[in-house]
Amino acid sequence: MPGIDHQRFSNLIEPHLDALFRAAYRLTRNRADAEDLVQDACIRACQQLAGLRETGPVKSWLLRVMHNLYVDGARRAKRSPIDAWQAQPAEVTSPAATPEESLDQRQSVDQLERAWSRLDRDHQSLLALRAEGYSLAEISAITNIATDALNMRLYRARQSLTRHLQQERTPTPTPMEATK
Amino acid sequence: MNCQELHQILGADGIHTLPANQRAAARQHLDTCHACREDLVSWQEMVALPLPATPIGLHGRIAAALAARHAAPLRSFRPWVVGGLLLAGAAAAAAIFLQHAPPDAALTATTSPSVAAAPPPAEQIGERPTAAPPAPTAEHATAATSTGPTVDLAHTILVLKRPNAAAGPEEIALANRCHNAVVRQLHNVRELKIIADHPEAPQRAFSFAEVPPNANNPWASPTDRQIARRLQAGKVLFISTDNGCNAYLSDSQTGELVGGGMAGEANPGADDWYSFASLLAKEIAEKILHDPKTLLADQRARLLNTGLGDDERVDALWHLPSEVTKRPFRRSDHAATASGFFDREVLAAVIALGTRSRSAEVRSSTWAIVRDYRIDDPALADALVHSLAKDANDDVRMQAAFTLGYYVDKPGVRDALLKAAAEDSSATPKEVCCIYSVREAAERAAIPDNDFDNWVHKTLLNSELPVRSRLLPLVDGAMDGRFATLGNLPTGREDAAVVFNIGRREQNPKLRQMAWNALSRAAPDDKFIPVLLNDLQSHPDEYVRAAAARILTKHTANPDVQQALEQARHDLSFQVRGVVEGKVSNR
Repeated sequence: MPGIDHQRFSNLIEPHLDALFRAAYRLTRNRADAEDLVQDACIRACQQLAGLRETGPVKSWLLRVMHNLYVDGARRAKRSPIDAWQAQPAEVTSPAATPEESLDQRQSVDQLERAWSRLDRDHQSLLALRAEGYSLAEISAITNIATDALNMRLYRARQSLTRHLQQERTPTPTPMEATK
Repeated sequence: MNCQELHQILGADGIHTLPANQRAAARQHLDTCHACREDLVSWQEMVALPLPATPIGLHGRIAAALAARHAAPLRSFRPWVVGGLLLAGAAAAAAIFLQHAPPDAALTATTSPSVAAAPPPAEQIGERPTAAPPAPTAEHATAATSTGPTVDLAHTILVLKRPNAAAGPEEIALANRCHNAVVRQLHNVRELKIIADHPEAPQRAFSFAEVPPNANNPWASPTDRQIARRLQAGKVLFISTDNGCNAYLSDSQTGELVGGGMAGEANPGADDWYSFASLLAKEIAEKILHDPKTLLADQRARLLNTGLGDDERVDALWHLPSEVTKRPFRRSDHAATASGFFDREVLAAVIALGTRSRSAEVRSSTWAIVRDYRIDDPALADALVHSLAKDANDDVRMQAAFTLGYYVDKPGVRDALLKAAAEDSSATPKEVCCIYSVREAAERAAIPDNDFDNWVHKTLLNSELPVRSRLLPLVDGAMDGRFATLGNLPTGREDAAVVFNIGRREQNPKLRQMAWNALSRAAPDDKFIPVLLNDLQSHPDEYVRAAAARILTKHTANPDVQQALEQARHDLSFQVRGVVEGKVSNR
């Protein structure tokens, strides 16, 4: 990548890595994939830098690159969210939880993870940014979506999440229950 | 507020952190909108999912990847695995991207080798002051305390988890959830360093029996404080459970209690301590990080700055430091308000915003927040009376009415309220519950405190009123901070019977739910059981079933109730299951 001071660029991104990783983890629900996504976003951002014309805060720009990468499907999850959680149970439950509590917590998280995985990537990205506390104006700048359209998309995204989560959590009725 | 408006304001923080008028409107909408309640629950679950720490070394890998791609362009997106190909002195590029600029400065990248950094734009978006470090694992906590840069003792908090010694599994689970929520929110405050789940400070049961009689502060034992000092924590946050979640912050050196809070048991379907934890973290941050006098001066300057938008100016009133302002809680409280803050100049600005702002939302917000501060000033009372009579917006007049309730003994105020109660042009809201019309607000505001319970009783008994109006005074969360429960009304037993009869006959599920919610605060009465059992087992509306379950959990000694609650653990509705889980003894 000619024409770029990588050391300086690397210093530029360092203060924003926490924010990038958090958003990436919310998206991918998997530590390894989140690291990859952040790394890819930084590399892509560096590649774009030579032709960059816009102005704006660095973090917004980095998040925009990451958002576009994710939504475009440039990253594919290596493992399913469920597999990832099974590999990292300590992140889900409190270290002091009893086995029963751990099981309950993991089950609840598993259901949420599965519901999340069924969302469109566009919805996932918007919800992840909102969950990280970014305002509508900030998300609008990151995603290049006008505020009115953004409101509607967030509304739809939350509805989708609810619908998928309810489907995950609705137990299959027993024959007796079904006949009530 | 409609569904879309609610979703527009739903951020990562709970509803509890919204300005009072938005919070009230949001709650009122949620009381009537099943779909939005469901959305809120799933949203808050998603927000509260734990996130791991940013991997140590991620930056190094990225830096290596960047350098490697410069040195040897790769097709793969995983150059970090070939870090061994790094070349020393790889920064041979001609262009300096940002020269002498802070990392978060604006970007104006070109390929010119001598471009100077553009100054940051005046209105930057993106850089939030409280970016969120991830929740630590115990490993991270250990690493953080044993290595790393100089620790700021004053800004380091050791969090201790101390469920009651007699706590059963349910209460321990509650302590875990509350603890995790609090720790997570504290991590959002970048300036604080949080030590939680440390192996030297494991979870331990707590009992008041272990506290010496002469102890000044039961929430910070000498042993715990010693551990905190050894871990270089200037503060200890003690999280316990006693009818809910309690968190107390103490100085690890002196043992002095700095602050804290408590929250009642989280209701199923609610945000599971998220709102409590958010508020607690905010208040802890204020106490530890901010000088209240500086904050106050800043907010005053904002309020008085007519060059700002009205919404920005009124926003200053929402952010007065709690330590300084001493908001009174109940209408009858006459605690002193922000001493010296509401002087002539500030009051003039407040009145101007409340009466002349072009934005109805600003006018409404102004009257809502003024209610919190209980400012005793005749000019303010006059402005509120004028607003009640003349403002074109229903919500503004409704807020003015509620606020005037605090001035009801001032000349002319009661008459103005009674006139509005009889003549205001607003119609009764179409929603079933909890949004007051101007007339309803004015009528309620005109009732003096010492007559409130009697008014609630008479309203309930007045069969000429619609059911909604009869039950509304028993709904909590009203804007004047007053509500009556069937458990504490002098006529509670009689009133409970009336509510029960209203509920059993009510075909509208929302009104039936409203009746059962009111009844859940009454003393248990076996006469209610058969109807409630029938509702729990067969009512088509899940919120009615959940409300019935809530009352029946007080009757678990009854074997039929026990059996029905056991079966309700398999109810298709998460709302119902949430009520009964943990309330039914395991067989």
